[in-house]
Amino acid sequence: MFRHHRLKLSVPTLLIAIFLVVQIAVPTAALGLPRPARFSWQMYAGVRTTSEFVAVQGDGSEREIDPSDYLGNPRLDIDLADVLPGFVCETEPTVVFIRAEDQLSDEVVEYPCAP
Amino acid sequence: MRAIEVRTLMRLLIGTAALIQAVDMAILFHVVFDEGKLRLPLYDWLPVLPGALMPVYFGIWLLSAIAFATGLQMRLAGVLLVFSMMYAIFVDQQTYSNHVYLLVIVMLLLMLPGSLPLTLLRWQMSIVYFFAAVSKINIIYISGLIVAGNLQHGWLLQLPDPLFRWEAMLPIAVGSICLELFLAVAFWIPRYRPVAFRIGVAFHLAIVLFFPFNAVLQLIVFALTMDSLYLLFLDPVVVEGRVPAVIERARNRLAVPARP
Repeated sequence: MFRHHRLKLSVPTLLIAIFLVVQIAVPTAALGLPRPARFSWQMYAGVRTTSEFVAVQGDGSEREIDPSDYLGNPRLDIDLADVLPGFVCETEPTVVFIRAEDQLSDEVVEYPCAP
Repeated sequence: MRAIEVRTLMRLLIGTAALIQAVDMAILFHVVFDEGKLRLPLYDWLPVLPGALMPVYFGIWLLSAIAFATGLQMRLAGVLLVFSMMYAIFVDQQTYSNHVYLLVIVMLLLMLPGSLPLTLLRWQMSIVYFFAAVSKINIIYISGLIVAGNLQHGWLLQLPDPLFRWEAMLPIAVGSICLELFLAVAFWIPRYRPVAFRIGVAFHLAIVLFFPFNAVLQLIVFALTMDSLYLLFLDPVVVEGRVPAVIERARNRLAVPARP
């Protein structure tokens, strides 16, 4: 006689499995990403953007960029270097490039605006 | 304290938190989806609701929160709330909120029958504190930069200026990590439970009082949510021995007869 062994996936087992994956695996994996990451309980755990941004006009004049002029809620988990230069270039045609000055490493990165 | 009473008390606190969150989110939507501001959708297929539908959306959220808190059509209200809050989390990176995400999970588990969801909610509390603490173990947080940045703009209470030096901020930062780790563990040890309850409530109250005004509503929501999870750890001895009047009144008013 052969018995059929089937894995019984009960509702409680499934619930625990989903819970463990979402609540333990996701935050654990996120510890290896830049902080703070979403869905990982990283409240006030860091800042994704440590740079200050400067808009440089065609005539050479410069203006410091306040992120909240362009974003309603520049959260700490948003990497502003990814999104801010492109948007400033798009909305202000006189800007020729954006300079990002990292306040921790002193590294300077320039983001040229497309002509 | 029987499980059914805990659910009732939690439902009241969570419903209240969802109500406050609706107000906070409505303000945030107004700012984030203002004409000319940059939108950062998490998923392109999820559209921003037209302006005319926003009052309907927040109306549903508000009414569902009231219904959930009072136990009126609790399941329907819970489902509507979960969908409303999930929309806010996913529609834009700027409207994502850890506190709303936590509310969604707590609400989902609270709606499920049986004792397993209550056990998972206890784990949830420890998971939140644990990862909140561990993720803060990095040079930026430990240096005190983030703590100082928030304490300098406290809306009600502000620390004196001489304290805004790394010598003072670093111990506060490290202390907050230790405190969150303590809260993640202490509720599971009966001997430490009463002190964890007091420290936890005081911790969240301090954050609400000392942090900037623009975060106050969210921090109240977070405090209500986490404090509601504390209830799952309290046994009748602690409840009746330490906070008899408040809890007993709430129990008498809100208790729903347990099923046989």
